Order: sequence, then C-alpha cells, then structure tokens
Amino acid sequence: MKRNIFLFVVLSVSIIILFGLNLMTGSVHIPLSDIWTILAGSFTGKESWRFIVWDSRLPQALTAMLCGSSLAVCGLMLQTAFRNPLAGPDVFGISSGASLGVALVMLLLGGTVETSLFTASGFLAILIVAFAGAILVTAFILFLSSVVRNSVLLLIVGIMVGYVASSAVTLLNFFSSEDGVKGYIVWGMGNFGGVSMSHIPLFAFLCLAGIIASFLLVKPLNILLLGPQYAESLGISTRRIRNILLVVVGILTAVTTAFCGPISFIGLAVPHVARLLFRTENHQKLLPGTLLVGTVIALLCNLICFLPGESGVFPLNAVTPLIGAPIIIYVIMKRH
Amino acid sequence: MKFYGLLFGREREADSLFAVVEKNYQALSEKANQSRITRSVLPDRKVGPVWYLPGGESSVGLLYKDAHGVYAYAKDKHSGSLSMPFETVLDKFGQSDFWILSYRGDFNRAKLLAEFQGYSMLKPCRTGEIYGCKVDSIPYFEEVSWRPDWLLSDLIQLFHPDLHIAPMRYYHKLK
Repeated sequence: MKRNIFLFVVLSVSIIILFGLNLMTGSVHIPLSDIWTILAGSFTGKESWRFIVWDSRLPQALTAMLCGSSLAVCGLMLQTAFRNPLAGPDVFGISSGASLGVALVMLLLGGTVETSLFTASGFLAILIVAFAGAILVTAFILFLSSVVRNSVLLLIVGIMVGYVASSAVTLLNFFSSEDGVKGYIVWGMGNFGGVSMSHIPLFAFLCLAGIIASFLLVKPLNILLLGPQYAESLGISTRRIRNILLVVVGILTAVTTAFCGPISFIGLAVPHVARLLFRTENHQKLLPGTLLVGTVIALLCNLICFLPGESGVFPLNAVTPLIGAPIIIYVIMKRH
Repeated sequence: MKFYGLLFGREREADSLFAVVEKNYQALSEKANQSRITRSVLPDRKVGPVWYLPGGESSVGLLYKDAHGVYAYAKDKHSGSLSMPFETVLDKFGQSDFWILSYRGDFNRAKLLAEFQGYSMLKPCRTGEIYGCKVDSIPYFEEVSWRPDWLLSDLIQLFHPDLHIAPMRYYHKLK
C-alpha cells in the first residue's frame, strides 16, 4: 500500500517536471523567466515567442499527455481482455483504417474532401477521414465480435483487417507523386505538435471521456483476469464486456490517430512497465498506474524528439520504439 | 548538359548550348548585383513536424546566392536540405519578405492556411507575398537542372522588385 502511494506521488511529480521541461525545450531558446511571463499573459516581447509557448509548446505537451494516457489505457484493456501480452491499440487495424482514410485524401484526392454537405481541406480533412476510417474498422471488428466467440480468432481477424487496409494504402502510394508519398510517410511517423490550441478542448474532451469510460470497466476487467469460464460463472457476459471495451478502445485510438497520426509502442509497452512497477494485476491500481506511466513516457519521448535543438527534430515514431522495445525484451526475459 | 552530350555523342552541341546558358546566367547575376532593393526569401512549407529548407551550399541555396538575395541559411555549409521544426522557421524566417513554394493540383491561400494554423504568424501571409509554382503542369523540376538561368530570372525578379527582365516563367502570386 505504502509502495503504491509512493509510486503515485513519484509519477505525478515526474509529470509536472517533464511538463515544465517540455515547455522550456525547443529549437528556440526562451529563458524560463520569459516563459512564466508569457503564461501569465503579461509578456510584451517578441510576438513569435508568445506564439511558440502558447500555440506550439503548450498544446504539444498537453497532446503528449492525453495521447500517452489514452493509448496506454487502451493497451492495458486489450491485453487483459484478450489475455495477450502483445496486444496493443494498433493490433486490430484501427490505425490502419485511419491510415487508409488519410492515404485516400492525401494521395488520391489531393488533400481536400468535398461532399455535398461540406468541404474540408488541410488538417481538418485529415482529421475527419482518419477518424471515419478508424471508426469504420472499429464497427466492423465489433460486428465480428458478435459472431466470433473465441478471442484469439477475433484477434487474428483484426490483424487480417489491418493487412487489407495496408494493402490498399500500398497501392495508393505506388501510384502517387513523390511529394504525396513523402507527405503520407511523414504523417505516419506521428506528431504531437499537429494539434493547435483551438483544437485542444475537443481533443481533451474526447480523450478524457474515453479514459473515464475505461475506469468504469475496472471491475469487469479484474473479473476477466480469472479467465472466461470463471467470469461467466460469476454472471458476467464476457462478450458484452469485450464489445464495450472494443468501443472505448476504438474511439480512443481513432481520436489519437486522427489528431496525431499512428503512434507506435506506447500502447504495447506502457502496461508492462506499470505491471513491473506496481507488481499487481489488480486493475484498481494498475489502470491509474498505467495512465500515469503512459503520460510520463509520452512527455519523455516528446522531449527526446527536440534533443537536436537548433539543428532539427526527431520524428515521434523513431523515438517511441527506442523506449518501448528494450522494455518488451526485458519483460520476455524476465518471464522465462 | 555536358554529360548528356558525352552520352549521346553530341559534345560540341552540348558545349555550345552550355555556353549560352552560362553566359545568360552570369549576365543575370551581374544585373542582380546592381539592384537597389534586396528582399529575403522563405522557401517551401511544413511537412508534418518538419520544414525542409535548402542548405546554404545546395543547388537552390547557390541560386539564391547568385541572385544576390537574402536567405537566412546563406552561411550554412550543407549541400542537401535541412529539416527544421516550425519554431526555428518562425524565429529565423518569420519576417521574410516573400514566400515561394511548389504545389500540385488546385491551390490557393485559403488552402495553404488550412494546412497549418501557424502559417498566419509569418509576415508573407499578412502582406500577401506568397508565390507558388504548379509543378504538375509547369515542368519546374524537369527544366531547372537544364536551364538554371530561367529559374534565376524568376528569383532575381522576386528578390529585386525594381528589376524587370521577363514575365515569370515558374512562379505566380497565390490568390
């Protein structure tokens, strides 16, 4: 009990420190005192600095926190529901569905979506189609979930759906221009900085709604740990839980992929880190723990992306596996 | 050009063509040197989290030097492109006089601003000095390595609005 409280405190303090570091780090050096005045609203210096802190670094740090926690929670729920330590938000092809939507808009339609109801271009177009693609795949997986009883088979079908979406994306890339392919590939590398301050309220609302929904699933998740037979004997409908879980995971993954692109590894690795730290399978402690660890790791990855400083920036999906892969290897080693 | 000449066995023709291009190029560069107004350039745009900018010693960077224009990375020694986050671009290029970029298909200022909200912080967005080249109908990439003097002419007129050489071949003001 004491250990858990200690861990929660350490993680929370780390989040605050990393958040501050994220605000201070970037390719342009802004002194800490100026950052304080900018946040307080009484800055009278360079307009570009005000923009950099308020409209670039702050939304980026907030996005990292929301994405990190959402994806980590998704990963935990999937790993428990499917009793598979390698399950993650990208395993069901939900990110692939989003990627297909984005590829269609970027490579086929030239960046603009025009329907009889509305016309959207640029960031908004990407957002809408990524979300739509992810939700369509989620709906399809949900439909299959009501037909396929076995969780392992559902997992396999989900992976196959992902492959089909990827093949369509490959086709689109093959017939595209250089710029189109480059634009699509860079989108696929993930980016916490794509969400502007005006979009943060919507993004935060959706992520927090999903996270709160996952907290309501703590008890069923704990019961699922006992195995499907015991769970059924306790009167829990495993299929219903699985379906609710898929909806929550689908929406959270759709939202994060739509706003930030497909982010690899956080959903897969963070639950394992949390299990190592908290030494429990009880979701009452593990879920909030996973949430905090996910936030810490996402903020850390965002910080590392800005290490080159004045000379450039690292893409997000190049940094997350560097943190995630050693953890996975360690988990495997420890188990055997 | 000379290489293709060797490849196809038409060295003398290639050499004579090259001499024409070189003479034209040097003449244009001389003219640019005498201009009284010199502006600063902001090239290309953001792709995801990075903005690819030409290095100081890249082919485009050297063109900017020969056009006697102002480019914030003129002293950079890279012959390839630099990948910079938006913060750096805002800091170094935020007050640029004009912005040049290439695009495919249908494009205008509204679509450019829809791509990324932060573009509105750049001075060329407020002054309207944004010039685009429609590369899927204008053979920009195909011609540039062959006749760099044509691109130089466009750049010189953008850098030095007091010089008028010929109607711009590649760039037009984005509406």
